[in-house]
Amino acid sequence: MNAFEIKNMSKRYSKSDRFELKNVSLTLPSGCIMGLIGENGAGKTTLINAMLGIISKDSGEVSFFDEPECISSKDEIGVVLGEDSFPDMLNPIQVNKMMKGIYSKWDEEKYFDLLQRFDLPEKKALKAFSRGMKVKLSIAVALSHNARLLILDEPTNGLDPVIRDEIVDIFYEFTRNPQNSVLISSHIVSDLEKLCDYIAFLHRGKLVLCEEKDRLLEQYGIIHCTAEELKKIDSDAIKGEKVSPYGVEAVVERRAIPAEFEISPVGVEELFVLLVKGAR
Amino acid sequence: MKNLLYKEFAQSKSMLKIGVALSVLVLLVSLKLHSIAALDSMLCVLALSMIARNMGDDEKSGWEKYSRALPNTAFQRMGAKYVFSILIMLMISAVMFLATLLGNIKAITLGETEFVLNAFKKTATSEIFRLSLIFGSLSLVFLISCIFKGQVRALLVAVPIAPALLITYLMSSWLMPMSEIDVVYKSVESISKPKHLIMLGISAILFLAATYLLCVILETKSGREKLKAVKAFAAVLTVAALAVSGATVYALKKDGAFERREYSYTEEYEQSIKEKEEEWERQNELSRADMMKYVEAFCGETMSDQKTEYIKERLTENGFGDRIAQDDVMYSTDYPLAIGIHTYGNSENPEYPNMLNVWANVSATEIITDSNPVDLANQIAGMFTEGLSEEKMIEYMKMYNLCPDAVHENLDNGKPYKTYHIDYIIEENIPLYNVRASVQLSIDVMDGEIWTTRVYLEEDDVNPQTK
Repeated sequence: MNAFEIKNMSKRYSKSDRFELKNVSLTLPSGCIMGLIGENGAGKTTLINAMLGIISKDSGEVSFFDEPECISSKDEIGVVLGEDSFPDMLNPIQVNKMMKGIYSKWDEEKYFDLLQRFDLPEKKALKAFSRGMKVKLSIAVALSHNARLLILDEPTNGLDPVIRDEIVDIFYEFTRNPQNSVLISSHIVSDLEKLCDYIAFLHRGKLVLCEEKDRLLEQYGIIHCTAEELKKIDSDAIKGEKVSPYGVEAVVERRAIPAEFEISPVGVEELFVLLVKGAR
Repeated sequence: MKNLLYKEFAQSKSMLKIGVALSVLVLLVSLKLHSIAALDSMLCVLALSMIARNMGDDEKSGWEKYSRALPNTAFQRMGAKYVFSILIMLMISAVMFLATLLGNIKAITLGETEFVLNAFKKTATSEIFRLSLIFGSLSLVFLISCIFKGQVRALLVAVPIAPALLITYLMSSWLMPMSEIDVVYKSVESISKPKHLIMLGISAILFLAATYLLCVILETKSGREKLKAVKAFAAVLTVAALAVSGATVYALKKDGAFERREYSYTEEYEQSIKEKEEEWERQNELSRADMMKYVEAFCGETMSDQKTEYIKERLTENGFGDRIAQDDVMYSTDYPLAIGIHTYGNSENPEYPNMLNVWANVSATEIITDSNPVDLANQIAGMFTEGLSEEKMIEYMKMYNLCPDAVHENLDNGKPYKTYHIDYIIEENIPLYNVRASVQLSIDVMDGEIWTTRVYLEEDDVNPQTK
């Protein structure tokens, strides 16, 4: 079963807008974690908003758990959209009262356990919360209604490394259940590298690649050479390059590289930077 | 929606606290001054700011975005806002009801229930009418700004206010017969006509339908083409709703709904006062005639317990029963002649010597210790303080059934001013006291404001033996 499936989704905010999400198709099998990466303005948030129905899409279809999108499927999706999800006047106890009527499987006990674990005060108004605390609260809510899918839009942005690490651990725990899946968008690639089974890369509204992380790292590598040497390689195999006075650094498909080239393993972050900056 | 409504209230918690504090203040002030109008307006402003803040916050905040990813519909979210607005409005109205009730608690203890009910109804209806006008204006401003700015989502906030306005009109129409409402404009009176109510109902339905479609637009997952069709239909409905509303307003205008009501004490009003006085006289005479029978029967005899009981029964039959406390009867037993039997031969009242004293003594038993005509006169005079606008003064006069006996125009150093004479304030209350007191109020009004207020009090002792 797929946690979600997006088919040919397109979205353009207005005719004058240069940005356009173009025919994106994406599938996440159940039990997997997918990292959605891309530079600022690549379309990550637009994609998530459109798939959740927060904004209307121009075309395409979305299904969750092999069912067409509907209100009931939202009951099984935990969402973290940033720090300002809840009205500032409320406190975590009031958030509990509100959410337990919204989600049919709301687990009050789990929610308060998570608040304790995250060291969040129960009676303090959210306006007095730090950014990290607000994100933790959103995560606590997302994890407290027995969701099968978490959709997280840049949950770790702006947080210090300690909190980020803590949050990544929480997602690990969530995915111990093989039925649970996560879609997480971020441009902090190091977090995703630790966490994800799949990496989807969006660039200027287009899905450039979507692969299993391990296959991706097997498939691609980095070579360091001169510009002349690079010309010997099939241009289709070169996914990105960065030219400097000391030579050229390029992301290449391993299968098409002649044996004389020394191929270094590539990290997701290097791959991401070179794909964005050196896209051919 | 219930839980979203909880959010609306929780979000406005601090505002609600201020609201409750202000409400208490209104109640206290109304008790002291018998006036709620100024703070009443403050409460209205508070209610509106609460609603506007609440709605505005959602428009700007991440909640609006986040809530659309939750398993609830836009219609539920909007419904919560709508219900919240209505509840706040009703809460304010309820506070005003209570304020009116408590403001007149002294009159209630004096048994003036009719007066209290009248004031209560008038205030409540005027209050609802006032709120509907404020909501209506707010709605209109929202609608116009939304249409000009092309903000569909903002329109979603604005449109439901229109039915709220219509519902308040219907409520005020239901609350009391329109002919009894004294408001500045005649709208409420005109709105009671069936055709207006039907038109308003149609507008409300159209507005609600448009709101629902706007919610559908926001929730829709379909492609842009389908969305266009829904948008067009919503626009048609909104235009239709506006057209019907416009037609209603035109019909109201045609029927004189927006003409300013002139404050004048009509013959009808004066007749109703006269009828009340005659009714009181009739009741009083009946009691006197009946009293005469048992006064004559016991004349000159010492009162026994049995006779006290008899008198008690007779008094009860004559409508005085609820005014006799056990203590008074005991007192009368100890001093048998004090209940009204001893005054035969009163030279001051040759025609009805015994009767008058019985009446006076019976009245004396139900005097409420902390109320007397002087206090009441001073309280009423205290409302007409220097600087109060003439319009407000007339409003108060109407609230307390004070009909000016004469209005004179004079000059002071060449400057014109008016003097309102009212000289029967306490007369209606005579049966409640053992004194006859008449109070005359003279209020000078210059440049639309009270300049001076003079109070003349005359006490006429009906029964010197008991005073």
